[in-house]
Amino acid sequence: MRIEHDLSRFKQIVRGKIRQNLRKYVTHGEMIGRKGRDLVSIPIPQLDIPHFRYGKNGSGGVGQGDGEVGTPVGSPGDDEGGAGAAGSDPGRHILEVEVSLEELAVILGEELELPRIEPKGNDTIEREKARYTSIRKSGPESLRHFKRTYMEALRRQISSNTYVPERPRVVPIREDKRYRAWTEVSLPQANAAIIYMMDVSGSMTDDQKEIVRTAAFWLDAWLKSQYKGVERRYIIHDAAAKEVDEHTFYHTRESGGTRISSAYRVAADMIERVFPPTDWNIYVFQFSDGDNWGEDNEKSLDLLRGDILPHVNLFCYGQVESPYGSGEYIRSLEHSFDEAESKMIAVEIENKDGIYACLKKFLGTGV
Amino acid sequence: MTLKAQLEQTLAGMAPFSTGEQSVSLSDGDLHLTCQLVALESLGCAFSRLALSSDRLAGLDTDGLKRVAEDLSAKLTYLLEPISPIETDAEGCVVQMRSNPPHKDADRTSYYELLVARTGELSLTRYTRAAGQPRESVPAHVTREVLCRLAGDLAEAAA
Repeated sequence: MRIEHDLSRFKQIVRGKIRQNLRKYVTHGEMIGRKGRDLVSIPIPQLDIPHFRYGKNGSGGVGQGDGEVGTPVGSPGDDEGGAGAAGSDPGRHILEVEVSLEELAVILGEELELPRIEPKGNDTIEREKARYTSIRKSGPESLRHFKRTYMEALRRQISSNTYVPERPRVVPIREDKRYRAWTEVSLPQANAAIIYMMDVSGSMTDDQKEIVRTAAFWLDAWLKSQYKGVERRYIIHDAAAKEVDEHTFYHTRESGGTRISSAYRVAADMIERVFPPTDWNIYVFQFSDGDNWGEDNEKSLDLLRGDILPHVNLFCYGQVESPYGSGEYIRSLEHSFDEAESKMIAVEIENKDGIYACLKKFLGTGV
Repeated sequence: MTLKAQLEQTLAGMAPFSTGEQSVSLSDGDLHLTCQLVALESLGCAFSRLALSSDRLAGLDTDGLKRVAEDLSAKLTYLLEPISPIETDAEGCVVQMRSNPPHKDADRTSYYELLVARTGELSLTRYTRAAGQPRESVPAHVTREVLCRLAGDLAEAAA
């Protein structure tokens, strides 16, 4: 019981440290992806790991060696001092603590004071799920049910009088084999779809993409903690847009011009085909340096107004500042939509330190 | 006479000024140069826009425009910052070149933008942007010699 108490206390201290340095962890993405999908590893430099402390073994003890009757036994610390040799032990390591994404999302929510999301519309979508609940006579060997197979073999041997209790050997033959089989059951799920869009045109540098990657990690973590099923889709664009996988999303650089309307067209099409707005809670996060080619702004705003905003819970636009700082798209958005009335939130992210405020603004609506 | 020589001659014949704007237009065959001068002194001058149009450029595809941009990037090494292609808009057939890297002061970023377009035009403008403000075009200050050299290099790239 004592060690469980200590462990729980240790976890509390770790959480406290993470909370204390959350802004730093949010803005520095180095721990992202270090432990796979469900765990992250967070370096905590100023934390004492629990360890045994040895007391001075007092003044007692048994003396050894030559000595006369009455000679006092030496006590610890009686050695003469002096300059010691240089230590050969390694310096103090930074402690890395593993934290589940769920726990991290809770800390993020508490620290940013994020409201819980209220799923809209039909939050009980039926989803087919396979459950291995029955047995069949045929199937792949990987699904063979050993216990049932041997029971069948035993039954056959007993009924055919080939089972000898004194020499109990049960050898299954082909007809005895039994396999696990699945039946499909419907499970209700609250579903959310996150569509990420990123500008990968020539003016977006690696630093800017790193900001997007870090912000997307935290957005993912929070939304996953709020919904049972989260589908993520990624769209990249320069002058043309396409749907890509997660890795491509973060590691692509094109040299094309910026036409935001191309990404909106793909997103609108995706919403129509894959995520019927009546069944899905749709979140769209767009990141760009806002350096859209002039004549494309109107086209983009029309698509956003007509084909995207009416169908989504939230549309967030993060404008990551390019080395030229020339992005004007955010001004067009602010000019065209009233944040208070529409589902659109636009934030300028100057550098990594801006991620914290960006998350607070994006997720603070609780929509 | 080449555009460069014509420009040298024109500048030599103009009276210095520091207010208002004077436009200089010159032609050499199918090459047309337009320079919006906002100041002219004995050594230097300032222009708000320098553009050169050519029939040859108008016939190029995106790859051809990219080659022109690369050629210009190699030539224009004497401005405040080196210029290189940043984005290529295949739909609009335009290559956007900019100072790379741009010049950054404490609260201001400045850079050249040179567009190579299939409309047949090369245009050079200098922009600046203060923190939190939209970008604005500003006069580019160069010596007379540099302006003439620019005209010559643009003409050579477009020829």
